[in-house]
Amino acid sequence: MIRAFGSGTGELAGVVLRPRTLGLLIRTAGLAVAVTAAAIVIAVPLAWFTTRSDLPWRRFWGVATALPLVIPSYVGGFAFVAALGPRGMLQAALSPLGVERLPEIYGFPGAWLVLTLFTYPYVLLTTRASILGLDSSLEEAALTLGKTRWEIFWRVLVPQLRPAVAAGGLLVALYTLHDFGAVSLLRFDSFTRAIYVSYRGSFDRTAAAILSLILITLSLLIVAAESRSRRRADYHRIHSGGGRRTLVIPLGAWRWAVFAGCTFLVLISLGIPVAVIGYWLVRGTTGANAIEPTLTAAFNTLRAAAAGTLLCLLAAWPVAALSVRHPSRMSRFIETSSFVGYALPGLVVALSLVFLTARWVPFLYQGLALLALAYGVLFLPQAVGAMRASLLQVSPQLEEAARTLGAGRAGTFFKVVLPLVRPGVLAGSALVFLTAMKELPATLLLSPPGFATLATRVWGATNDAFFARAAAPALVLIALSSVPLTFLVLKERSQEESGLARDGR
Amino acid sequence: MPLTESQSQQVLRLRGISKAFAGVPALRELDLEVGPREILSLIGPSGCGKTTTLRVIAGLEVPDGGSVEIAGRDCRLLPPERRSVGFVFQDYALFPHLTVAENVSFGLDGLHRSERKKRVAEVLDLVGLPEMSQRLPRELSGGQQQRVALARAIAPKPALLLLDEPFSNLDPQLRRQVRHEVLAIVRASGSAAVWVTHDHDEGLIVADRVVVMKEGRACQAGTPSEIWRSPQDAWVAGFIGHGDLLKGTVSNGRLVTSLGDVAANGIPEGAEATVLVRPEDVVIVEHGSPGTVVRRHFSGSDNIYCVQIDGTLLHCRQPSDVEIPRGTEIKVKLKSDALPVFS
Repeated sequence: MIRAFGSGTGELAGVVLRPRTLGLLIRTAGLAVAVTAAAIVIAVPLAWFTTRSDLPWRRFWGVATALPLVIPSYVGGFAFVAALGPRGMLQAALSPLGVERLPEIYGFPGAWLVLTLFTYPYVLLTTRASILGLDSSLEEAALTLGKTRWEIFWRVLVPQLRPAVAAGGLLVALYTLHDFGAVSLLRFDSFTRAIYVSYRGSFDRTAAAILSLILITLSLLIVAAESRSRRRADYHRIHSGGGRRTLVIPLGAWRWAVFAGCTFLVLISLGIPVAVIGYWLVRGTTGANAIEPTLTAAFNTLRAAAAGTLLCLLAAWPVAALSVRHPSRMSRFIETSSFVGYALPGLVVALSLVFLTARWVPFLYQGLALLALAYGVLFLPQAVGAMRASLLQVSPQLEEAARTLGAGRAGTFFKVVLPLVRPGVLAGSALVFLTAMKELPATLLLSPPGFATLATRVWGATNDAFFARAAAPALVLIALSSVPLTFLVLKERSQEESGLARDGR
Repeated sequence: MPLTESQSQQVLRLRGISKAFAGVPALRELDLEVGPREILSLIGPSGCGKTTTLRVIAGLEVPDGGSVEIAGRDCRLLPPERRSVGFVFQDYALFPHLTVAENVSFGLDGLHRSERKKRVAEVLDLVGLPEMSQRLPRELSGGQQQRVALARAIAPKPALLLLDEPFSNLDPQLRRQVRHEVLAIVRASGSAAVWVTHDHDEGLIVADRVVVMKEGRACQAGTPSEIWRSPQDAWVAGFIGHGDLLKGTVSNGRLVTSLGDVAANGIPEGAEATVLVRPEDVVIVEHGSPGTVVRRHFSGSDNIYCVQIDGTLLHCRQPSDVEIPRGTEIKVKLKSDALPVFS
């Protein structure tokens, strides 16, 4: 910000009005819209099939279709380039058949495909949670009023799911806007890539700052639109938590068609990346000497992500507690401002932290603490959201009951509030941890010298097209990320089973 | 000012309590006293400030003005955990992550381990749930949760027990049964109690003394039979219910109504006034005011006939074996001359 305005308005206008900037804006926004739309089209029916229908292996698909979330877009990007790119694996396999050219993977189609495949689980997870919380009696009421399944889906379910779909869609849109790895690998000229190029390449920091500002503005607009739709939709949630029996709807002849669809989706979104990585892992001649640096990188990844998660939790608690227990204009403001993190691309946060610390607090510059701070800023909203949701379920009467039974404020917190919010807070931490492990641009820019994480190793190798060297760290990263995600999905399952009748309202 | 013997013995004394929420007054200069082992019920329509009163006593709300004394201690600024009150919440507020035994022992931190165990067993025995100690709250029925909530509140032997609409979540059948049990348990615990309810019947049944609240004030206090027999005004009479309000005019020191006249109790001559007529105050006679039976409520033990007289409806209680068909012309009069009269 300071950078941008320090440059003088003339230059500012110059950069903003450059035709290139306008093109960037249209391309980036277009990609975000296309990816979000595609993710919703895939995820909403999928969420319904995996919770309400008699799809064969329903529980397996529940986990498998959420798993692509663990594959960072830059790993997915490299897998698709390796598999479908010019002189890639698919073409090599097809060349005996005389296929010389495949459809172009670089540019918009590739970026669209890759980002959709690895972000649709955001919509899937939010929508599924919402479906599980719905009161089936509404659907039953609609059935008794003579509506068909199809009408019920559109007129009863969809309006109630809209807030959840919007929340998931927001995450997808922002992920797309802020993504740096996939668009760079797939040579799609988006804002983040332009910012990085003008910062690293030509050291034109002013242009980088101005482009960042435009990107932030775009993100804020999307966040504002979503929170507006959420406010209007608040009354849809009145019925959640009523009867928890889930209606299972027979798909009839469509069962196996849906089954095939799920198989296809999981094959391309999970199968291709894992197969490509496996292929390069086996082919890589550097197998033995790759183990040690990979282990170090894995350790570094865990350390940085853990530090970031911890910082996030510490910062998020007061924000969530204040907004739930003492709602006021001030606490709303604090909560809203914590959500700005959503709108800040990792790249931009990293650049501004580089700029700030290099100028004012040089001892922090290029330290692990700074990286953790960046993670903290970026993922605070996720942590606040999770804590807020779990705190909202703890009736204030429980705290009052503890107080009248002689427990002080601290005693009440440790004996009543903390045990009750623990599941929600753990889920929030798992989410932050997962995202922090995958985070690329902030890690790239803020890592201390010689501090390689899995993300930076994958990036470094793929950027130089050493796919074999990227395979081991990518595989480890995917394996590590699967742990928190599996935890999240399983938690959702157990909630579905127990119906978790919380006492008090 | 030295305290007299009787003043110092009060378990609870509220003086001039005021409390407003966002400028809307909920309590206005409320005074309240509860003696040792006394059960006081607070009744009134919803929004009259009953629950707020309870929360002020417990320290869950800080009053804007006035004083709160519990067992002779000034408590106005004391946090809830140091007031020695037990609170039974409307939704029970059992800790969902703790077993029944852990819930009950929550307030017993000060006790030694073995004593704590003993007290938990004792209290669970008292509420009749000794075999439920290892269950989680969600594994109990509504009535059982209710009793656990009560056990938890009385376990630390509070000076004062506060019950906030304790039966509002139970169905009527269960409510009647549990009411007697709970009342017996509260009596056995030896604590004084303030019992809030919007159900006036419940308030009259459980209490030693009743306070009727209206718009943040205590508008009448007395024993249940005093409240029943002589409500202070038409509003209280209407709230307690089970009666018809009959209008009339005072003439020669008597209130003259369509059903005959009653003592006017000093209401000035010529003024309009109302008399409270309960179904048992109306008798069927040979010579009286003519009316028509329009409805019958049969409740097993008696028949309540709804009689139309001069365009007003009046209820008349008869034994269950007295059957009068609808449309029958009968004559009725007031049984007594001394009925509650309001100007």
